[in-house]
Amino acid sequence: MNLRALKFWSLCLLLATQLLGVHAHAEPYLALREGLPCGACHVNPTGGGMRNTYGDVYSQTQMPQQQVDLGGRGLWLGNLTDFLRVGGNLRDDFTWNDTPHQKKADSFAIDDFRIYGVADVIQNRLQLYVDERLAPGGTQSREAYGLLWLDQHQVYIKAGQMYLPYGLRLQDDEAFVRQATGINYTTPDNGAEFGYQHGSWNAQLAITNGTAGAAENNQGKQVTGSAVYIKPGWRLGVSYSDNDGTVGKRQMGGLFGGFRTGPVAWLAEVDYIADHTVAPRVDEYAGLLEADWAFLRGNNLKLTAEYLDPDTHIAHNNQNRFSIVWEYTPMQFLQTRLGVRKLDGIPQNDLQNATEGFLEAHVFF
Amino acid sequence: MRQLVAVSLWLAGALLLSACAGSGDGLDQNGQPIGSSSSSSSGGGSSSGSGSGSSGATVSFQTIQDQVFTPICAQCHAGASAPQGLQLSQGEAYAMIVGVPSQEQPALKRIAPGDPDNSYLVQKIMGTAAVGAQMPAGCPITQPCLTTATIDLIRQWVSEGAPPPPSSSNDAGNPGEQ
Repeated sequence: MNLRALKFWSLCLLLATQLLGVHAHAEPYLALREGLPCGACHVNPTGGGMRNTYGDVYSQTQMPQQQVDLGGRGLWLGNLTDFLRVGGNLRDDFTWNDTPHQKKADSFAIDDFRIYGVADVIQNRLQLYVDERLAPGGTQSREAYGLLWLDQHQVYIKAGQMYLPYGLRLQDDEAFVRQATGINYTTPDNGAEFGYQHGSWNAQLAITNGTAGAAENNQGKQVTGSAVYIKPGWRLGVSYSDNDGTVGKRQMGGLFGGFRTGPVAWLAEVDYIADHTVAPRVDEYAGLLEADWAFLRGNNLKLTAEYLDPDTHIAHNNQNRFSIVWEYTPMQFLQTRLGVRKLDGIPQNDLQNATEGFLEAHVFF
Repeated sequence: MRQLVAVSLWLAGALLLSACAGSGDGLDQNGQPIGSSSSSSSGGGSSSGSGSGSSGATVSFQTIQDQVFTPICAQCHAGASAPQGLQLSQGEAYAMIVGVPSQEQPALKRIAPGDPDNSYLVQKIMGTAAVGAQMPAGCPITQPCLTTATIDLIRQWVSEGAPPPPSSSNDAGNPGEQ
């Protein structure tokens, strides 16, 4: 990209952020901070995975503490050709774990390595998208779908394998709200999704197999829907899911949202799950409180407090999870994350009382 | 002022949550009421997944269910949205794994009775599977991997032909079977 193009994109971004009155990053707290839907920065209208051009420009010009001068190379926008773009994420972790009655352990490991590709078969109309996980382990498709935009980008139809639209799309798959609902980055499903976005409204409805990507073995389907009302300083959303499987229904409802006060973004989600697939029926509650404080440019301090009642019919079995994570983006394409999580559950279960720490290098483009 | 109110609300919420951790009174390590059907065979002590190791005695499926599947695997592998459609909750697990082709490597059975090395579930917990990450999910990053003793326990059960719990089962909640 030449200097002129760089100036053009920077100007566009500056204009957009000024018009919207905020700065931008990624993850739900970033979308909240910016007053934007997840699809403003991601190719997938429901968020997660590959960044779009706006997301690429933003992540390189607004997120880092310092922008390294790349000389004549300009900004990375992932364009291989006029209609083909690529991107990727690598998360490499050093972690340590202290579980009661177990030997302490620490290790290096790849947490996640993904590549993304999108083909704008018909520009602004028809897309083919793939989100492929390369490591750890072997290659696995996370998302692979075709998407057709209609009605001037107000309506879309998506078909293929996709993440389900439900609640906050947190990066942390281990969060109670993502674990208990079973809707996270590890459980994409096959089916179709219909989306609507107009003004402050953003809504999706997905009809999928309900097998988390596995082969379907019955006629029951999972219907998952989410609707969120987005304003610059706050948002409020509802989600619902009804999965009619072979062994019974699993129904969930959730409320999520957040608001911004100065440099702090506040997020919350609460979910209720009624699981008829087990006998006797299990009712669960999961909740999340999150605060993200952008205390300096390129720095974010994330505090979370989580709650899980894995079975409301049983007393004294509740669990908590508290986290503190410092996210530092020294330069474009690189973020470091240092965090500690403390689990607090019933004393007789060691895993529910573990303390975990991690130092992560997150390289993305 | 708005900031102060938000901070206060968040702290109040976090403090409220911290007061909500279960005391575990009257529960076994799986969080089930002591004496209930699903707790009867689990015994006491730690549920760290350490298991008892192979001691020469026959390993029952219910032991694995209580010490591994229920407290660890079924945290995710439960319900109709279970990853890969694999439910490892009480009453579901046996029929889902024994003699059933894996989704990720259909050439391999999840559990091939008598053949632990070619059982995909065993490969997954040992981290030797050709596809996907080692289980439990997040191991060893966000939670410990299963201990060697626990893996040996499962291998022994598979080696012994992966016998079902008494009175068969696949049907839920037929617990207490040893």
